[in-house]
Amino acid sequence: MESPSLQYALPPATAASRRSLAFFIAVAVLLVTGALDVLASVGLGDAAGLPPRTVQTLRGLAHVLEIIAAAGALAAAVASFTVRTVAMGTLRQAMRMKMTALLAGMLVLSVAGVFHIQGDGTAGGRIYTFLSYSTSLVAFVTSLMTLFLGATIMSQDMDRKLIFTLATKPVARWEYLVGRWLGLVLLNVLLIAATGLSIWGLAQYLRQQARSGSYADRKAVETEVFVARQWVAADPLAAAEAADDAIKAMKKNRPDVYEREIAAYLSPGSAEHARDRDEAEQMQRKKTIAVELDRMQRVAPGTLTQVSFSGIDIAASRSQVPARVRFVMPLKSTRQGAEKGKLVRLTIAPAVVGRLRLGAPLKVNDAAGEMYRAGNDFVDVLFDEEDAALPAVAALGEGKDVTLTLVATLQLRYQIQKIVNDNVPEDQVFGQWVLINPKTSVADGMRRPRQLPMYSTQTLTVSAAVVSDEGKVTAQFINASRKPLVISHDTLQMLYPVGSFEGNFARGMAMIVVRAVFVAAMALMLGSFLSFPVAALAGMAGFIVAQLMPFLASATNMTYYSHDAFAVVGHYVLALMSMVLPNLPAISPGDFLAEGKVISWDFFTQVAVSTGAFRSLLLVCLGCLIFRQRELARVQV
Amino acid sequence: MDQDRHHVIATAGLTKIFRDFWCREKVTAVADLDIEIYPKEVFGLLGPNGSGKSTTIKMALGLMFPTRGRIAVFGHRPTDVGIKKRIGFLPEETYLYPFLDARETLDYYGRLFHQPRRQRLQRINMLLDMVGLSAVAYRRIGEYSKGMKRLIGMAQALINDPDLLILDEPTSGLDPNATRHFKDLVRILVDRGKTVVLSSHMLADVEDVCDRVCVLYGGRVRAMGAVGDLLTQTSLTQITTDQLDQPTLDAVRAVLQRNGRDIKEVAAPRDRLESVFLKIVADAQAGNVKTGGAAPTGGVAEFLRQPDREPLDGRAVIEDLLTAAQPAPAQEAPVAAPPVPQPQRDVLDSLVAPAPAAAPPPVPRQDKPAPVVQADRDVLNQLLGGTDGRKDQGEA
Repeated sequence: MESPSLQYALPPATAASRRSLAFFIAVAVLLVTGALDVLASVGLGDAAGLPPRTVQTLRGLAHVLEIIAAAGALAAAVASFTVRTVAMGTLRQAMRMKMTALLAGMLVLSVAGVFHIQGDGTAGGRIYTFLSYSTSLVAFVTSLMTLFLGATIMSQDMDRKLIFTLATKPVARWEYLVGRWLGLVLLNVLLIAATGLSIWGLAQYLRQQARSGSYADRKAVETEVFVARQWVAADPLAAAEAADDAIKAMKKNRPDVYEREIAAYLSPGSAEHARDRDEAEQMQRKKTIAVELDRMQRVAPGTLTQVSFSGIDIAASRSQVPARVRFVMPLKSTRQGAEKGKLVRLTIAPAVVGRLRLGAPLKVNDAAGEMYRAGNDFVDVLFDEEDAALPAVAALGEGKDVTLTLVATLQLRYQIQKIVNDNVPEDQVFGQWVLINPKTSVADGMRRPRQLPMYSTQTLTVSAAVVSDEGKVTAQFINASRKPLVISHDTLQMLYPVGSFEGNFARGMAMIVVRAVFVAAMALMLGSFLSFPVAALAGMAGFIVAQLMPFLASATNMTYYSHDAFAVVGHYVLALMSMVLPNLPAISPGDFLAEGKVISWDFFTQVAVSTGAFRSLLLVCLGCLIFRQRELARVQV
Repeated sequence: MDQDRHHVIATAGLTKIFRDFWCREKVTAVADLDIEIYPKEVFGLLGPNGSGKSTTIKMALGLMFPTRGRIAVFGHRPTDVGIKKRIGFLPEETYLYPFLDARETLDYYGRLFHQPRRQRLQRINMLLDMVGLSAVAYRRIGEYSKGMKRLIGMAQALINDPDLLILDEPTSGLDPNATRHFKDLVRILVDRGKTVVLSSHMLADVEDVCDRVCVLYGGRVRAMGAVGDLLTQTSLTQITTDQLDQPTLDAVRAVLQRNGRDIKEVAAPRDRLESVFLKIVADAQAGNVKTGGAAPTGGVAEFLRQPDREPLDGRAVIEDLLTAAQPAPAQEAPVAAPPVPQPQRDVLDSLVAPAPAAAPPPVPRQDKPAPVVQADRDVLNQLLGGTDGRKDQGEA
């Protein structure tokens, strides 16, 4: 008899049902705009034939919509008393689990352990190591904890049938899942805030300790760690163009050599075997580019190389304040590594002190020195050994009224290497960096060649006057050694302070929370239909793939292997995966904080929206859908 | 449709088939079930293990979805979140968070009903008093014994003063004392207009509290009706008198033999173990013997006695209610008599003629279970075994 006469009454519209509706509308808007945004980032706009500018505008619009939708969804969820109850219950549950205690203990121990790593021996190195490792560890441990907690809580609810009691209360399934999610997020916020504060405190302790160290140490700590700097990489080398020129020349002048090389790729026995001539030419071009790239980074003895930077958005502010020379003190320290030269103490207005940065270039009348130390109403300007002999410096006498010029600063980061197999003694590497404003020809930098260390990243602080109005700088390196040197192009960066370390640190910790938000969503989604071991394993797999995102992206890069079917499929699979999984290394704050690089609000907002909101809610939504369709009771006959 | 609104639970052709991984049909847990449960009744689902009782209950709660057919609770889909406000559910085992204590548990579930703080706290205290867990309210549920978990499970099911109480094996794990209180509670709730659905193996409990029962076997209804109807043995008559000596017995036998009948059994009536046990425990409690377990006060949470859902205020009113509505002592004495078939009236008359003071035995309510002393459990057992050819009402 298949005639169910029973009719269901429609559920009445209540405040709760309106809230559910609001939540799902907000989530739907977020998911649609977010999906379009992600697709645009993998080249949907180009495929649709839209001009890049339009794509840019549309993506900006999508971001705004995403932010509004995410805020709306969050508001609708938090407005539900049920969601809040479940969230607080989850927090309490998690706090009473041994797993949380264990991982919190691990967190404390690892931060304490990292605190005792000495790094490269310098104060700056130690703080760098501490900040980099401790924040990475916090990010990793909280992710791990969230993953396991989420999977445990969900699968316990199912396996132990705790969900029976909950699901027979007036709790919509989405409220349950979102409540669980917010509870885990809340736990992470508490844990990350607590560990963040202790990391902050320990870093400040190390900073305090560095104050009693050498000037070089202090300078490195203050100008390279406890700042928030924007950075610009060097303009790319025109290796492809150079390679094409070289190939053209080769085809014209030595066609036989070219053909021999192509034939080598086509021969079946070669290590890199090409299937057809087209591919062989691609491979030959790739090799030529590599050779050109190598050549362009080389600097022969006695010659100079030039690198340009653009897009440096710095206001070359320059202000002059009156000062009076209090005393002049020659520095003749015998201590190893201590500075030599001349120290001039100037009396200045206390308001000016706050604008001074350690190591920043300062001009006293016409003499160029750097900021060495500051007190409540004075600044010590350091002139190094050779500058101290200049007449402009010699003219600075006690009690003299002078003009102190403050300029914005710019830092160049570089690394000197040698040619592989070349034998260059470490102490015979000499060079000189000069930065030039391409518009006004104003130059700053090293005033003479110096001995430079190899294979370690160095920082040179100069005046921002070298930046042209268009934001361009030309950097020249003169090789004053007897051997050729290599300036590693990838390591070249221009940096300039744009914010405070405090704000940057807070954003860094918030970024770890964003990671946890995503991991919690992933764990709950998996836990909504898998048992604990399976959910935990799948979660770990997802976590590892997200961690390997940059590697996978380069592995499936289409530029070189464009006609490999496997690569094409891989590329699109990865595009699909990147819709769900974030690029975790890119959103790890460890290196940002350790290198004093700014986590800009722009970047943070983008991460928060794409990973914290879009990807997470996509997974939560998926979890809700699975959970709604699922029979919570298992087969029991 | 209007009629449907009067059902608390109604099923039409409700079928649940469990399939295996390859979607092959494996077990038919419930087949073409048509049940209607009305307000103000205690409905019992009986059946051997695996007969579909739990599956039916889970479908009513939206924990499982029917394969075919429909089930409506208060006229709505079971998955409708709105109706959950009116339901209390006690699962067959206690599924509560072991890391919460009793008070936190009740508070958590109370919050899910959006109860205001004051009312929530009041109810929690009353419920803890009622189930006798006030003294251990701050111990985590993970440390509770099975029976105590049961009690807190019961309290949890009542936190919202539900209109429909669904109990899966409610008395399993309960001591007789708690069982007694549970039965009183069920009657009080029903008197207030609530509906109770319970499934049980404890036939005595079902017999005592249920108005109607439905016996399931293999997912199909084998029998359904009022408990009294199902239990009455129309072929026997039982007479209970003061103790008789042998000559009197012989005289009685003679009277019966004159009418072509005989005495089948002569025995002194025995107390039911339940009533003896209850008496012993009551004596111990009167003597203040200490216990580390549940210590029920014997009362019923005041809000569960309230005639309607008015906010709980006025301590005096509650006191009044408490004293006035104290559960009447249950009919524990084994002196009940089954309804007497009329044709044998003359036989009885001749028996009782010398003692005109004897009143006719009370006729029990048809919808209330008649506590029969020697009530032949075979009737139910046969039903449960499903082996005899009793009328199969479920397929009608």
